[in-house]
Amino acid sequence: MILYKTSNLSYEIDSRTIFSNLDFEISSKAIYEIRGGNGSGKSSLLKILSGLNKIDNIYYDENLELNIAYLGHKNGFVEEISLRDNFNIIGAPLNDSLFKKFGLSKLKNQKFFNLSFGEKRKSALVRIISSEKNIWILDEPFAGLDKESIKNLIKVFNEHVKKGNCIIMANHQEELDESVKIYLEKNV
Amino acid sequence: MYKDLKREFGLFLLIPKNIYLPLSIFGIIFLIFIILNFDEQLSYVSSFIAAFITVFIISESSFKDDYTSGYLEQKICEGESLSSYLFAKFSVNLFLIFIPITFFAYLINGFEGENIFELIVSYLLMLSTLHFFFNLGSAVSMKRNNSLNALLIIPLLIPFIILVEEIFVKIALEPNLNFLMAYFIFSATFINFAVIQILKVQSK
Repeated sequence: MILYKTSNLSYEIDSRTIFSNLDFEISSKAIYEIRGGNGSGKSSLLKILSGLNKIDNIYYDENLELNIAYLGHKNGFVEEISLRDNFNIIGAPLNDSLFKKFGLSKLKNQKFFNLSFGEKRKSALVRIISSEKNIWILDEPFAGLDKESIKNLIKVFNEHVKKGNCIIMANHQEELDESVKIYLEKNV
Repeated sequence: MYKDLKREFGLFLLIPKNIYLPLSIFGIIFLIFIILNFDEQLSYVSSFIAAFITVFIISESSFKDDYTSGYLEQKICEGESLSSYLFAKFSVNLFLIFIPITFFAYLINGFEGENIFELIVSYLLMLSTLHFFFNLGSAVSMKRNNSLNALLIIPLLIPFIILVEEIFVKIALEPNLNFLMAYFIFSATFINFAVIQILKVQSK
């Protein structure tokens, strides 16, 4: 099923061209990696795909709405309350096996501001994984994670895709073997 | 809707300063007016001024924390309703701050008088309308992290303040209560619509 399709896509911010002449088609059952250097428009493209910046020159599947789980640069949690309370107030399930897999079990009662950068990032990823959304749009999901967590996360990604779902992520770390690449070049 | 209500009520109860800070601000300002011992005719005005300042202060950071944490961006990207988000914020403020403030104000001023029910309703409508207007200022100034834009909203409130004077000083309920109700409906609909559009633009 085609989720997004575009040809000759361009995007500007304040008269500065971020990217241009972009062609791609995104379907379900795959991982899509958006790759490019700093300032090439990876985050901007993710925001376009999530609908935050809607652009005419792109086809959006009609079933996309409410089927997207999004993770930007920030984690979306409240710093002053515990990890457990953060999940409770948004109605996200406290999936014990996921918490254990990412080493977060003992941190449930810790105030969120006490967690390290990597732990906060893993918490945000657990929220995404435990949502029942088919499409995951992730901005630099591996940032701040240790090797073991990256390995576990890639396994989770593959399982998610095997169920017929889709992952679209911006990534400038090591390329994934089984992913479709969308390359962005920085416009000078 | 339920999800937003649960989150907002949960945040208020888990972070107690969200409740005691506005009630403390209101109490302190109101106490200052009591000590200054104004004319009895101005007793309702003093509670209005205390409420005005309290709502202004608490509305300043209505959306800042959610914007800074990335929660707003997430909410918009995941296609969730900002209307229910705003309604949840209003509901929490109404039940946990505005109603206690109203009760406190009338406890001090007294519950006597034939129009007491209309005055209490007017007081709650006034607080709610102020909340919506100051939310507009908060949304506009969200990215720049300053209150300057919020202060620009205050001129929009001048007719509202004149209206409130008619109701609370002169106790002239007709037709001013009708105008206040219209102002409330305008702020609850159009102003909140504007806030939603501004939040979407600010989150880009």
